[in-house]
Amino acid sequence: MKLFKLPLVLGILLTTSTAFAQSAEEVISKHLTAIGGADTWKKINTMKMSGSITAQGMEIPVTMTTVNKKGFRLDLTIMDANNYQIVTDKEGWMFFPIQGQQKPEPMTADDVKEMQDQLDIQGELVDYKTKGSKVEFLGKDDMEGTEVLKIKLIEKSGKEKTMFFDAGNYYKLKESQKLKANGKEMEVATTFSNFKKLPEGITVPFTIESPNGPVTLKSVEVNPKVEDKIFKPAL
Amino acid sequence: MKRLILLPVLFLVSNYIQGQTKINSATFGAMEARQLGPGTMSGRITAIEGVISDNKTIYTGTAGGGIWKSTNAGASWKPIFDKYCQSIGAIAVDQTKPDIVFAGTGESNMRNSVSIGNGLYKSTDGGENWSKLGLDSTEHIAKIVINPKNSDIVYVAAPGPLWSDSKHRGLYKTTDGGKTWNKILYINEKSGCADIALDPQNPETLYATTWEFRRLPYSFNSGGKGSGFYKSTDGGRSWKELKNGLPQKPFGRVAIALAPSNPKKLLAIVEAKETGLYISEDAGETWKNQSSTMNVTARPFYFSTIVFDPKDANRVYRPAFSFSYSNDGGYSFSEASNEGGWVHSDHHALWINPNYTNQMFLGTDGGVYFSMDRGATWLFVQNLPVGQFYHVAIDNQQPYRMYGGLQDNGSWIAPSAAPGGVGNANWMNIYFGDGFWTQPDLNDPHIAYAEYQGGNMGRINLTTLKSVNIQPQQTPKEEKLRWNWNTPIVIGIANPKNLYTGAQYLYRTKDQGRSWERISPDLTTNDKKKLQQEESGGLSADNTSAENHCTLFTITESPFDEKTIWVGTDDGNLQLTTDAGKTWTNVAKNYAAAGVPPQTWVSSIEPSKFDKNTVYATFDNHMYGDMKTYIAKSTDLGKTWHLINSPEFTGFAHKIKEDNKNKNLLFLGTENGLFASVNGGTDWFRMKSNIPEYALVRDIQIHPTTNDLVLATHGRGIIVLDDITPIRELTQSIADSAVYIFPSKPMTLSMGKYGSGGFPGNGGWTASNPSYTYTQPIQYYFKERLNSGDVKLNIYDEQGKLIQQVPGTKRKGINMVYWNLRYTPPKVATGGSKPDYSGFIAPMVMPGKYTIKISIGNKEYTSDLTLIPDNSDSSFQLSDRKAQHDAAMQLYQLHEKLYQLTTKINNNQKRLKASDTLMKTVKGKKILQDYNAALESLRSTLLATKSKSIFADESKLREQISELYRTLCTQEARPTELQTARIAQLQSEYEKAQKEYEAIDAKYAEQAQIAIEAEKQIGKGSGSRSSH
Repeated sequence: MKLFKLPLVLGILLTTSTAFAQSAEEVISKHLTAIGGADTWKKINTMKMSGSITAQGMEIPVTMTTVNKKGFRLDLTIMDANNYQIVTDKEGWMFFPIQGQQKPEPMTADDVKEMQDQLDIQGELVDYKTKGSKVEFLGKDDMEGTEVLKIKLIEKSGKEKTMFFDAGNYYKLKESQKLKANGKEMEVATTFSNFKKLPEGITVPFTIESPNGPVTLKSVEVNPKVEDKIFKPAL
Repeated sequence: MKRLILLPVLFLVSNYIQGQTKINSATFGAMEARQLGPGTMSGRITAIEGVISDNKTIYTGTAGGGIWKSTNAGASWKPIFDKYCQSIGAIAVDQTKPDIVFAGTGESNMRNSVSIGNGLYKSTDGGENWSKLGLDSTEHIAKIVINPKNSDIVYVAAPGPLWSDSKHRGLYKTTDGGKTWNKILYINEKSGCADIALDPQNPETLYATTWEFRRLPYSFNSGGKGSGFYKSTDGGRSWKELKNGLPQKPFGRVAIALAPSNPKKLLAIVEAKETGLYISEDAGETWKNQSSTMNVTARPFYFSTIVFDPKDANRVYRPAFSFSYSNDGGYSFSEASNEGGWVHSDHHALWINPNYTNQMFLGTDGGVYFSMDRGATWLFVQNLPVGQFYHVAIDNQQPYRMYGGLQDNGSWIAPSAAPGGVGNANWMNIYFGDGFWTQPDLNDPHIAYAEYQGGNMGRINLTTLKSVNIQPQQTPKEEKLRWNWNTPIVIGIANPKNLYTGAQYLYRTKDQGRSWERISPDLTTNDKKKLQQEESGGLSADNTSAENHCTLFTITESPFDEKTIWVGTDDGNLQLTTDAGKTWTNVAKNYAAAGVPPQTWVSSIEPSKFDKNTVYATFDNHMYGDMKTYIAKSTDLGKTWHLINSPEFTGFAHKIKEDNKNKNLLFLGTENGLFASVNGGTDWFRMKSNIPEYALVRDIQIHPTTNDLVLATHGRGIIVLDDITPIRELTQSIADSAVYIFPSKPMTLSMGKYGSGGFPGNGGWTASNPSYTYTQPIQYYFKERLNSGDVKLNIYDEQGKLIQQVPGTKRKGINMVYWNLRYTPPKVATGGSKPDYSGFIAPMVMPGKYTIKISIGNKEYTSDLTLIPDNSDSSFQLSDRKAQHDAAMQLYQLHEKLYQLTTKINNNQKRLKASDTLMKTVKGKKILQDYNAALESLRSTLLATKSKSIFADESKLREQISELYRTLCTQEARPTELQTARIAQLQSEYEKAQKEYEAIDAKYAEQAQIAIEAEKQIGKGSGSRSSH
């Protein structure tokens, strides 16, 4: 059995290809530069986005209002009736008369947690380290034919998001995450396009496509005055 | 400012004028193939692993369909390995960090049709993303074991290549989670590592078996000097051979099991002259032979699984031909009853939940089964579409039917579309055994031809499924007939009345197999050295016809002339006749000159439909250890050939297909992917489009009228890429344009060919119908993804009225946007207790000419679209459509009128309410309140204002209009007389309401206005009055 006594000399050494051309940090930094720079984003405290969802010719006006770290409100006007969803640092409410709701109802703790990401107006990538998130570079991929760089973001809460950046201009083209509801996981992807640079120096996508349909923005107001009361439910 | 924002778009558009754009899969990414499965017969399962901590996450590895993950104990599955090699040998989950998963590619059930792997992969996020760790050349991986006390230590048992000598086999070990690997047990270039077991309490103790084995196209050998059984107590640094009590060597394949609850107890099925089950109670030091049932010792090269219950060392399972179990630690075995229903034979994988050992998953040649009672009864998992087709054929029915045979799963037929989609229940099993060629009779839709292994073939009545054996028989003029495992049965192209089959001779029938004519001599090499199948198998004889050789393998009739026939053999001949078989020419030497090795299987022959002297052929040499992709083309009827090559190719070639309409469009199916060329074979790209990137593509058809590309995959069932017209039409000059709008072809106006039925499906796997059974897309092309600006399609009728707006997509390559052929929905009265969903529904438009203005960023393109009536439904003629359209539009307008009226009322009421709170005089208040009450009384007749419950609502005018409106919008029929009469009635009710409104208005409006004005005057005149 002398064959087996020969120690590791015979062993074949195989190494993985861990040496990617780019690091996660580098991709994120280039992305932040491409959308105006972290410092510009840090000057933003409130934001109001208005636009519409178009579905077979029907236009549903949409407004999204955010106060950094405090509140987010989504309003949809469907057939002259206002439907809304509110998330604050503490709670969440929804009122969707279109779905037969008669009065505002509180969101479940799970749903609130999932939606509280919206409160971070700068986005999860600005100062991601201070926010307690970890990032991982997943390599190059192909998104609908466009070369993208894939980054996984693991937030402090453990929530994971996969982000796809255009390898040419470093805009974020897609984000996918697993949403938990009733103990089940559901993969939800959002894609971004129609990028525009605002006078305030930031670049934002004016078209946001999610499973609920595409939202096309008409205006994005930076640092408008927002009243606190809009984050309280009312009929 | 606006101008500035739009500038980047202009830049984008003008920037891409120079240079040739590569046409590749991304160009056609918007076209998504449908995976039809089905799940009803599924396919061979090679590995099943669960996550112990959650009792519900299961990974299933398949012979040719990648890895599927369930996070709900098998209720639903998701493919998670579609970008990689589809043949899976082993899976291991790091139970201490269950997001870490290893996958070894290359199945190790070494049958003739086994596929080939390309190494070991690892995921650290539960299979979402994978990276390759190496071991690329092992080709087959049998097992992966993780040290439970230190999961950086992993062992990989690699039997290694089946078809050639190789150093890339043996037992590999990593101590750093897979970054580096050492080979710690290696015998020789013919013998790899077949199995490994690790003592979980003392993980430095390992047991491993080595195996000498080899296949040739015409024989199999299991066993030899290299086979052995070894033990190490130092993590594989040194090994000692186990012999005491084991049979006389040579061994063949040895399968081992170690009892987790008593690690000194081991079982081994040792293939030897007398194959048997051996038991050790002392950690392998001594072994005792037990007499064993047939199921325990059967086909050791194919059935290499034996498993202890994780908690009970007396309970042992032997999944093999059937499912046997032992209650006395392996001394005796019984067969499970299967009383819960049939379980597919041939078992290769078993996972038992260690937390609840009654729960188990079994992998068979026909899918996964689930048991909750230790294997006494089994439930079939019906939603794993991993069937292993060999071929596919299509007919001319509407919808067309697909015919195909599968490894160990018979022959099947299904329609390409069906109400509610094509589900398991739409598939019909028409023949048994291993299925291969299944052919329609294009002259008789009630007949099909199918076969099982060894050339057994039948003519099948598709109504009764009674079959008649039609296999040609030997006469005194012939040698013993030799039938390939996968015997060709082929209908003629020039003359579909011809049906061909072949042993070593070619046979033709013109009467559905009632009589056959032999139209060739022996077309093979008839090499006697390759004709000793009786001796095949090695230590265990195994002669299933899988090794039959020197046979015909592919037959093709020229599309130009039924007398011109091409025949390819499995031993390297390609024969041509141009006189219906009187004389034959072997052109093998001619393509050998171009570089195709001798003896190579001719896997497909594709005579061109555009030129009678042009022919393509694919050659498969993998059974001699050569995995190269060989395609050759001749333009002089086989006299000279040249090889077609591409750096994109992976895998040995199965099938080349020339498009029906564009002679430059070619498709190639290999063991590792589908490839396409749009320039006659000069450049190739891998087709993705929802097709697993390394799918085993065995056969390809293109439907003559629907233009569907139909693929037979050996592991992912039937896959259809609907209507490949965009691929046909995309020229290089279009590809080079920044934006191109495809002219729209006339579209048939219809709500779709099929209804949806009732509740969704019968469970199992359901593929959606082709989108062309509903409508056609509007298509445009972008050279690059559109990052700035938006895309919108505005649709105008002939009068120039905007009738719809559809948001467009912005992807690189072809974009396909669907208009539902309807108007924008009406405005519907608001303010009721519930919304009215008529606000989401619109009538279909009428046939005619339409204009589409496509705005892309700041540019606008115009395209014409003609909608034509659907003549396929004789009960719904154009005049009926017109009547329906007009009726629906009357109700549409009625909805809008009612909207105007209720909006007026709502606005008035709002105004009155606001004034009422300010009004101080009792008289004034009363006027306003009476006015409001009158309006409210009218309003409550116009729409439901009181909410009751989900199924009990008021039905007022709006609801009554909606009921009929929605009916008329969602069906294709002339309105009935009563429906038409009802519209008139609703109209008159509306008019009545309108008059009533006018009456109320006349009665109160002026008074109210006066009262409000008076109040304003009072307010202005004296501020002090308000203090009273």
